Amino acid sequence: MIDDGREIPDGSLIRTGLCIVGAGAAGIAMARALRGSGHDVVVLESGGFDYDASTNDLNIGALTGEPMTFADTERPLHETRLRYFGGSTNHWFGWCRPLDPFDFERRAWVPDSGWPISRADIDPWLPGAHELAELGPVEFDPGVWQRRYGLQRPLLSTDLVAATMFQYSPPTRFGERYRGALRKSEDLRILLHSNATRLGATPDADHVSGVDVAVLDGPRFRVEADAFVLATGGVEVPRLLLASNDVQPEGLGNGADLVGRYFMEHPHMVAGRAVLTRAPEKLMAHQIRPYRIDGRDVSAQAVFTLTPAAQERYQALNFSTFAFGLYPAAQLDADPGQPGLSGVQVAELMGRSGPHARSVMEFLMISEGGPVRDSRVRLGPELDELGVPRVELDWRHSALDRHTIQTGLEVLGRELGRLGLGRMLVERDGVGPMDAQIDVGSHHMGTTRMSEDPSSGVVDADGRVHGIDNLFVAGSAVYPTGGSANPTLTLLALALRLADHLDKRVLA
Amino acid sequence: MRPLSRRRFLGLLGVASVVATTPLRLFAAVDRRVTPQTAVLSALADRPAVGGLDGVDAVASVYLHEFPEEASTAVLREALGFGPRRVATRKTRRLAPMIKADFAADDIVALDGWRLSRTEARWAALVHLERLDAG
Repeated sequence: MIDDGREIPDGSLIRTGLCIVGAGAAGIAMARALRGSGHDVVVLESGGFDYDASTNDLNIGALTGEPMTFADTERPLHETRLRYFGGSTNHWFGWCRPLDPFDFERRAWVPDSGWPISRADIDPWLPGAHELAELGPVEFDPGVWQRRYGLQRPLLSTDLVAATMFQYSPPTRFGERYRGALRKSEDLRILLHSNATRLGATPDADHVSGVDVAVLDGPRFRVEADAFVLATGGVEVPRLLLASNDVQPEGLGNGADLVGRYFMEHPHMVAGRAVLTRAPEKLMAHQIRPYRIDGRDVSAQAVFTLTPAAQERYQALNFSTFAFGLYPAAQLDADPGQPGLSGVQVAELMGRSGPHARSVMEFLMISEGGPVRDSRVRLGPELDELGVPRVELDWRHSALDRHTIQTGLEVLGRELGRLGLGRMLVERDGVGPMDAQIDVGSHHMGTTRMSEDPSSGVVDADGRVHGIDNLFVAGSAVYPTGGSANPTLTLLALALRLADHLDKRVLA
Repeated sequence: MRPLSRRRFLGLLGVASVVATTPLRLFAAVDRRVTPQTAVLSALADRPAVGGLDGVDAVASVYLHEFPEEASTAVLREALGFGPRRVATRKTRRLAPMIKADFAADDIVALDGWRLSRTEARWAALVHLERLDAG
């Protein structure tokens, strides 16, 4: 059922088996998975069914670190997340690929890398994640897509630069898509307009006793549960933990001073241009287009990534490159280009010394952002309308970030040349990845990182907060590293895995 | 203050070290940055004008600006393994495997941001100089 928190009597106590804070991708995935499990579940959602500015303003926070921009536009913190049913799936673009197996490994050249689980641990949950995001088959090998689904041959796939697939959700708006099914569930109660403001803990801070809930201009009440899941994203999860400081002054679960630290983004950059020997119509694999699979259209495209061998060889992070633009080389004539060598001239050189250029590909790069301890979310001095401290986000780049983008372009250019497929422009007007603006994807990760050892992370391999027996975190806040894939698909799989764990081992 | 030449700028970025024989050297200069403004101004001030030239002459002009020590047909012929009688413009097919080998060995030159094989840039320079010699 779906209820309105504004109608809960002030001072009420609600008792349940599991309390999920947040009805975004992770919270809805878990609630949906636990339907019919026999467990009583309450989901607290800050907003209603539609966007409301006063509710979303609860997200307002200060950016004190690197600028957060996209396409030359600043991205205020409160606009990057949405506080209403469905959460940020209400504005996501649906880009999906799971983290690569290599992303889970410890890499000697990436400080603080390594997950306590492997990709194999989430693989069983990927089919469910695909179903939730309304994707195609759990298959990202372009070779399989060529054989089964009619994908054209990607431009290249080598020992250093691999072609892999991205799939695109419609994009599924989780709130709209799953509202009806969740409403019908008898053991599930969703409370709208209900903001978690503080977690109460036992004196030893090893057990959460309840969560205080406040409604804007409305009642306040409390929810007590056997277990709690925080599913409010990479900024709000640490905010709530840090604000819950009456028993543990440094914040709940923050004995190792790691809550809020290691905030990560995916650095985005439009850079690089290649003149290619293959005509645009032969490069359709790299354009987003629908493929008819099992009676429905699945949007997908092939992208380039650095192979594990290349990451190790060049001491780089993971890196995905998308064909951001693709057009016939003839259009270079109309391109003012840069003051120096033009694409036309390089194409002419290729015509004299090799194959003629036939197309031009421009690139969008999404890099892994390396974990940095001092990149962090912390509480600021200001309070929101409900009395909860607002956050300050101090995002810092890893020294590896720019190196990775530069390296990715260089290696792609090397492979294009080696295979006689084209030539790469890395710097334009003297400005390349080492100097260009780094944009963000509003992918907030890492602030309650997963670790085996309580001294190096906030949650364990099950998503349970170290030292607290009944508090769990779902979502990309638990990522120790973020790979170069958009986080949603992996976090959905992790949420389903956590739901199964709670169902069989905690709530049972 | 001594102006930052384009060559120096590329060196700072690490991309002028494209003669490096190991990939790690190619990408080693991560922290040696100059500001975008400095880079653009110096790059524009020190760039040979190549507008209106065909691809070979344009690449040759930029290459010889970056590597003036190679501005000799004899030097270029020797570097390319061309004998004295070989007409450069008629032997282009034989360049393709050399170009691919350059990329495989990271023997790549950065010219106005473009990554080209050292061989193709030298070949363009040779053709350009022979055109000039021919008047």
